[in-house]
Amino acid sequence: MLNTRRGRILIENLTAYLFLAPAGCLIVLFGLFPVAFAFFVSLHRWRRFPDEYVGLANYEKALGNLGYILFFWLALLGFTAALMLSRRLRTRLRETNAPGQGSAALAGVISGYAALLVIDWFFKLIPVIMLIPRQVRGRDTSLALFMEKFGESFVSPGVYEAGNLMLVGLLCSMVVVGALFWRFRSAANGELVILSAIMTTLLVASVFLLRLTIQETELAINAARDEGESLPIWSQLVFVSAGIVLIAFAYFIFQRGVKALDNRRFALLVLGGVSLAVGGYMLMAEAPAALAAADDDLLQGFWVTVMYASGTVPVQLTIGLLLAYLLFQPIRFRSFFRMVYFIPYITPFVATSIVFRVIFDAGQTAPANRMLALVGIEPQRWILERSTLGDLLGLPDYLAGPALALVVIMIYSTWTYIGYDAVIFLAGLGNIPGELYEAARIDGANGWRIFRHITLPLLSPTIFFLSLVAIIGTFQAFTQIWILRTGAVGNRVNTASVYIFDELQNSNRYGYASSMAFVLFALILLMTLFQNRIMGRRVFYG
Amino acid sequence: MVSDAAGMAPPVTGKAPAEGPPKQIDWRRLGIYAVLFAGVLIAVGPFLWMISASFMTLSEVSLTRLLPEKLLWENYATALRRANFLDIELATDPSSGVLQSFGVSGYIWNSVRITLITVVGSLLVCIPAAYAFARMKFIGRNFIFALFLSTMMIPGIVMLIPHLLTVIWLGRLSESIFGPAGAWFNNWPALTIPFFASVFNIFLLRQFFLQIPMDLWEAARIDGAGHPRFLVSVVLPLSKAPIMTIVTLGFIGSWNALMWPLLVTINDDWRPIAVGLSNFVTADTPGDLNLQMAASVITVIPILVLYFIAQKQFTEGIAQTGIKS
Amino acid sequence: MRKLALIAILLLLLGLSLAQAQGDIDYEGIDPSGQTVVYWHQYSDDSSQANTMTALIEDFNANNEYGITVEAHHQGHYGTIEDLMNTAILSGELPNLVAGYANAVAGWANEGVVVDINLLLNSPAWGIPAEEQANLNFNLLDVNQLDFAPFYGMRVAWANQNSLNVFYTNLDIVEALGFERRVPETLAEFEEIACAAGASEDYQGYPLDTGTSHFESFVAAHGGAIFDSEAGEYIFESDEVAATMEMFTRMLENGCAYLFAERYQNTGDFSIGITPFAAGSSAGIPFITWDAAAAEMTDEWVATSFPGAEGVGRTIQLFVPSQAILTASPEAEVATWLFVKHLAGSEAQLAWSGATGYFSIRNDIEVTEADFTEPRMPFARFIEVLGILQDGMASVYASPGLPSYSAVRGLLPNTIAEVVNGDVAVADALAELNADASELHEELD
Repeated sequence: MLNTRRGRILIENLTAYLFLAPAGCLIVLFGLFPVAFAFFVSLHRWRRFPDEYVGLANYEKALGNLGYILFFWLALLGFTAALMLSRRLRTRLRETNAPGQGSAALAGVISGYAALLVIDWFFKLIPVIMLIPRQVRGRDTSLALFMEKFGESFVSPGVYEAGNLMLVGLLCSMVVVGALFWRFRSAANGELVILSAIMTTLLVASVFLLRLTIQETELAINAARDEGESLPIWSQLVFVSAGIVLIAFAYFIFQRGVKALDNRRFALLVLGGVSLAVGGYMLMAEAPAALAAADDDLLQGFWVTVMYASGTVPVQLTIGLLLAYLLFQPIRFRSFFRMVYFIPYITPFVATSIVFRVIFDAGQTAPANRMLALVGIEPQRWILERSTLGDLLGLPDYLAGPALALVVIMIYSTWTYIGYDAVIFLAGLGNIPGELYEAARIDGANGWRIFRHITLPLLSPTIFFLSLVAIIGTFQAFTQIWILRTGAVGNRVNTASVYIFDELQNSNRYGYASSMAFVLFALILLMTLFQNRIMGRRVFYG
Repeated sequence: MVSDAAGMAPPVTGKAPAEGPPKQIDWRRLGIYAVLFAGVLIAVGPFLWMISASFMTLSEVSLTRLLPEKLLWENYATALRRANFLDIELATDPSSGVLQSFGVSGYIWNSVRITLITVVGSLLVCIPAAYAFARMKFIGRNFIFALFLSTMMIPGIVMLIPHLLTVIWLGRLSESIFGPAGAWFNNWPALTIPFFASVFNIFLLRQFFLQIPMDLWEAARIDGAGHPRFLVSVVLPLSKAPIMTIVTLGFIGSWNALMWPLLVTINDDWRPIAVGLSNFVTADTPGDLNLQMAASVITVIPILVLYFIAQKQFTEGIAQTGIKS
Repeated sequence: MRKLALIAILLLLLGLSLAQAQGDIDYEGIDPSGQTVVYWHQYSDDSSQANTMTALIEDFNANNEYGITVEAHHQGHYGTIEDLMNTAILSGELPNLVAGYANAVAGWANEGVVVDINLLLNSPAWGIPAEEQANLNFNLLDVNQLDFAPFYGMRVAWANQNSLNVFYTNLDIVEALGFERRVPETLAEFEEIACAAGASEDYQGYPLDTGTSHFESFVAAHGGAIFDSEAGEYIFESDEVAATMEMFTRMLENGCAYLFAERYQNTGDFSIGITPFAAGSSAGIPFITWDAAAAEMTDEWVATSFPGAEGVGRTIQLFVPSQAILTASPEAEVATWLFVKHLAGSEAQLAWSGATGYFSIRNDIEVTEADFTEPRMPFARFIEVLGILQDGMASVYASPGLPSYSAVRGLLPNTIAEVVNGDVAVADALAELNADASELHEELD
């Protein structure tokens, strides 16, 4: 039987899952579970141990009314994804007409529901297990005692019932799926099962989210009304969402407009301009109000993160590319240079940061200040300087920019990563076929034109990769800032990550910290998708 | 593969012959060298001063002198005494002088051990997974791959508490099965296992495996080989480059790891180098900057030595990450 | 709403277990024999603290009649210990004895993992008899006696390394600047001299940081505090706190003070003779002496209490890092207490105080020059600092032992930084800080 085509497919599937199993288990444990757990924690007041369920209160504390709006979007996103899946499912059903498709879809629904039951059980179990250390206090905390309590937690009230339900669900799903395969033995049906399972899970999760959000919003509005205030969450939801939709629409229109023929082009551009203006106005008018009750330190953290990213990534990439380009010229000692440039990247942060603290010390004798003295500039306070570049240069407020201390951290971060970028660029340059240069030179192109029209486009995948890695890196940046910051600059250098960690460490408000971390995660995910779309389109894969 | 040519490729710009006669000063070239040497100075300047400062007296460091008046080797002795960086115990038989036992301990040794376990474990976990994504057809492949990739965007802070919980309870489970040696806390599992399934590594390997020609697989299958045998006997021998990359990144990552090891080690049995150095630097007694520099040099030396020995593999390993992704 | 019900059940269970844990534990008739006591401390390797503690532990391990073994682990600084304690509380595997300040310990006590030392101290079988207790200095020990809710008279920790945040003056510099050769008597005088130093060619003004400890010392010198223990609230909006902020801002603006970042940089600068003043723990005296000798700085300097504002006398802030006994089996708790009691004995106190320069928690011992073994600190200095506390001239200030204080300590530096940098007005900044601190107080305490 195993020699049939179906048998081979079955074997291939099983082998693949076996190959994936170790990595899969670990990623579920150390990648997906933490996210789900953080979400769960963020819905509670939670200091070291679970306290009470507070709904979206933590998100409101972090982002003001925008917290609620964010959840509406999240629910909407879930519905959209479920809808897209269902459409794919429908086309699948229509295209192929293999037997047992209807049953496969049904099996998927049951499996999806079973998956939800597993999640439900799991998050009932986790708090009980977490509380075990409290129960064993004042006793000899031996391993046996812990394991005994661990065993007991599976049969504790609530968990036990959910566990039974989950087992029934799993059993049903296994029976149905098993019967399906036994009856029809088709791999195409397997995909149907998975598709409809994911769709079911998404749908139910979205319904849950939407209900939660509406409930919480009503609660918040009623609470505000009791205090004689009004909380315009609904109108803010409409206006902020409309603003963003209009801006997205404008982008879409401009994309079209640029390619369109002359007579339509003008109309499209006007339409885009109008929707951009209206959308922008809506956002400008409503977003600050929606954010009025937000945590200023968190907003400041995001702002610092954005400055940090935009100050390091382009500089780092440009210098890296320049060095790589120079190294690529016919020169001697190339491998020596390459080796040396790479050293900062491989040495531990803790060690190199100590030197940077000395170089950028506030004293007169600090190397950075000595260098300034050479060109006749007064000594600066560097890592102790809270004032922004704009302040120091006497620019108006809206040109404030980063604090000088943050600039020092940017320099440090750039210094660390340039070698890495240069090495990768060098490899990218090596991959560009030499004939292209020859051809260009025969056509009479000069150095700059060759660089602009041959090197850069052919290097774009590398640039894309490096900037993606660098942006994700800067949004998660923690250690560099953690070890180079000083008390004197206060929160001016705290990126969102650093602020969240402070919250976790100083006041142990896990619930609140988790909600902020979750927002950060959403932001990074969004940015990555965005970058993928915008930049990914310009990448030339030759 | 193509990438082997990275940087080491013969110059392809062909610019040099087009320049004027060799006797003339080649200003363009001189400019290039000037920029490159400035880069060298910026890249290694801080290290040179670190080494110089590690030999200074405290007041010389405080005044940020460039060079010490005389070399204070005892700074190193003091730093080594105050923190347990590396300790080698040799016990020889007093009568015959034969080596009886040999013990190594200390933060450097711990970091080396942690690195080795992490890298080997990571390869064992990631290679099959990457192979499955690259060369096998199975239900839900794209979905699972996308799910894996999305975990790369999770900020580290989200993970901290759940990771602790997981490690605490998995550790207890394993301890009740394997006894004290199976403990996770303050032991190698907590320091290494969470980093085995690196999505970045899986991604890297998958990209590489995708480039392996299909004919090889057809040939192997005609010989009767299945996926496991093809992976071991054909794919792996071809994959030295990406494996070297993973080893390199593993080394850099382990040597840098600070926050997590700090939380899961409670004594020097497995405490790694970055935590040791950080504890030394932030001690609650006034730490002398010159000693901190000496301690930093001590931590930097092993990785630099390793780097100088295997620098070609290091840089080319890293260069791999940028190719065709 | 099943989730709510679940949480309610959990809370009920939790309440029950807490009630059980906090009920009177009967320590009589317990046998602590053969217990192992795990002790987490912050003494860096090879320091005189670490070496003395090791010797004391070895002595205890060899000679105690119950065969108790103390295992000490160096865990980095206090911040690291707090991180590790978070993990330990989550896992439930706690050390038996841990070093920490009252506020950190109060946070742990909030989680129910700290033993009320009063129960052991007054236990008939294991405690210290009343007549013997009379020899203990309860002025120091009571910093860890938390008399407010939810602790209600719990003694959360045992004082161990008592030192003072002293005010250092370099008399030679003061004289060279044209002032009378003495420690400034008022804050106004201090500021005047610091300004003169800042304006001079040879010296720098007062080294200022945005840390909480020194700030609180100056608030105390203005006659205020950051927490009103009677009203049970943070009082950052009080005039004294505002006056301190204004003083810091003014001194920085006029070049009378300079900011520093590296820990102990202020006493470091003081020890090489470039600043007339510094504030710092008296535990730093050995390092100042040592560094001054290395830099061949021969000026005469003294350590005193802080000068006060107009109408406020001299003040001094007490640092009382302590040791907390954590919950375990009653046997282990008693064993840990026996070790703590051993450390509180005359012999151990003499050795500890003599070797480290910390004050003893006993009234009945006197460290003589022969007992004093800290090599880098002259005995006279020890007597000088001891005198600050004993002459009764200075009113004593101690930071609030509240769980929220740990979090407030994280907020204050940013407020100081934004005020002295001129980014916000003093009143606005303090109002915001007070609001944040009150919120933390409500939520965490």
